[in-house]
Amino acid sequence: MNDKFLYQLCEEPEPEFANNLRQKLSQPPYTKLAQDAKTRLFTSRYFTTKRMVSALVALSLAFALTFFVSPVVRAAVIDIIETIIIKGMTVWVSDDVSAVKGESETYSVIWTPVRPGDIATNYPDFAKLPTWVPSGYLLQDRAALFGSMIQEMPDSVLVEWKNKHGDIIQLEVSKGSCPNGQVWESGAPRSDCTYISFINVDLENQPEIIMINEQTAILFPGLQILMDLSDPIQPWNPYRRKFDNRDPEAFFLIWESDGMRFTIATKSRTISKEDLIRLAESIP
Amino acid sequence: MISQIDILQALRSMRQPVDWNAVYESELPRIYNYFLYKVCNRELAEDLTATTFERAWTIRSKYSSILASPSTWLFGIARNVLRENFRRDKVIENKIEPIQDNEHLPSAFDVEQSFQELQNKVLLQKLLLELPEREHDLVALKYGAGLSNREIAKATGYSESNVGSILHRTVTNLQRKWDERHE
Repeated sequence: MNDKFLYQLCEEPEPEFANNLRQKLSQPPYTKLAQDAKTRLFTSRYFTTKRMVSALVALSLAFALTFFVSPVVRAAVIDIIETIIIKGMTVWVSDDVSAVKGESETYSVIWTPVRPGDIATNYPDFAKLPTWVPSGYLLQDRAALFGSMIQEMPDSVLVEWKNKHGDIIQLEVSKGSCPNGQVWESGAPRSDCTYISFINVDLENQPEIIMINEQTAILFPGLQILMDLSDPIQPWNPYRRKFDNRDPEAFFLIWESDGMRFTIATKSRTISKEDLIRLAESIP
Repeated sequence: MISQIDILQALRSMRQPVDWNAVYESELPRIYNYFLYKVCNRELAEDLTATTFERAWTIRSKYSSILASPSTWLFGIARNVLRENFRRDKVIENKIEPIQDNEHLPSAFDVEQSFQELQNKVLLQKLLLELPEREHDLVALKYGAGLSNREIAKATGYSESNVGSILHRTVTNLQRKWDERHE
């Protein structure tokens, strides 16, 4: 097979273009992020593995301005309007950026496609499907499995329902933040209850504390955080999501129960807060 | 399927810090040529290349070599950038203009040879743009970016043998058309 003719479009990029781009990439903001990462790497090498696991979990919720630094540093740069601590979870709420909308993609969190039926078979701890969903919504055949490929158990799974209008409900079930209970025998809070998230909300959409089957939960009205499961499947599937903190059709709900963390994200013209609570409470 | 060797290699390489300057030097021509083969327009290829690197550099602190090599990671971003561009401007084809070599006008001495080369390039662009999306993508990755079949398989999600057969069929077909136009 003579394929030499196919190489003749190849050329070197124009030196001016290559130099300009190199120069651009060597200036902020492109350098700042790398330096931050380098600093984090050297200051926390000992905890790299633990941080990777924490990051995988936290990134599935983190929104727009999430980053992992100490509370002191975070408080210094971000105006935290509310700190919500429930069941071992700490959620910082800020309204520094009043309207955030867009899409993002990261290969730091990868997912593997899985069928909902396979979750029940292979990972029964994560098979927490609600017994009730609003009418017209069908469980989709493609679900997502998150977690390190070298571990037997995933960190979390995500399933979704859609109706014929394209409205979406996504349920993510993760390992709870306090697998060993919330307190030591002495009664002191356990240090391994480490789930921390930072969520930037719109001024009009303040979070509220509600109860789901007698468990405290945080409801974010108007907050859309939806994972995109629609791409063709690759060996490494990046975590792609859409986010919008000013979406009147969206809800985001998070709570923990029986050692598991649940998040429900919806974007629907018809789902009400009551529907959402009913759906959440129907999870066994 | 990811083998244990891949995992071990990834874990080993994870300990090594990434030399992003080296990544830039080695991957810039590959990414640029991938786009050049896809859109057949220098200006657009430069724009897409710049977008790819800017996005990659913005999120590189989150890059982990356990997930993919820098090259595979970059090509994943590049293909997404291209997809977004297609989505944003569904008539991207209308923007495509043949590569112009005006900036390198040939001398009278070799004008005939240069004219023939230019004609060949234009013909190749035309043939590429006529290809179905999947075949076009694989040809761009193979002949533009210079990826091996294995690397293409990693970047696209197809099996290596599937990549090989699709490329073989496509190149044979292109070769036939190429020869027909030159008879």
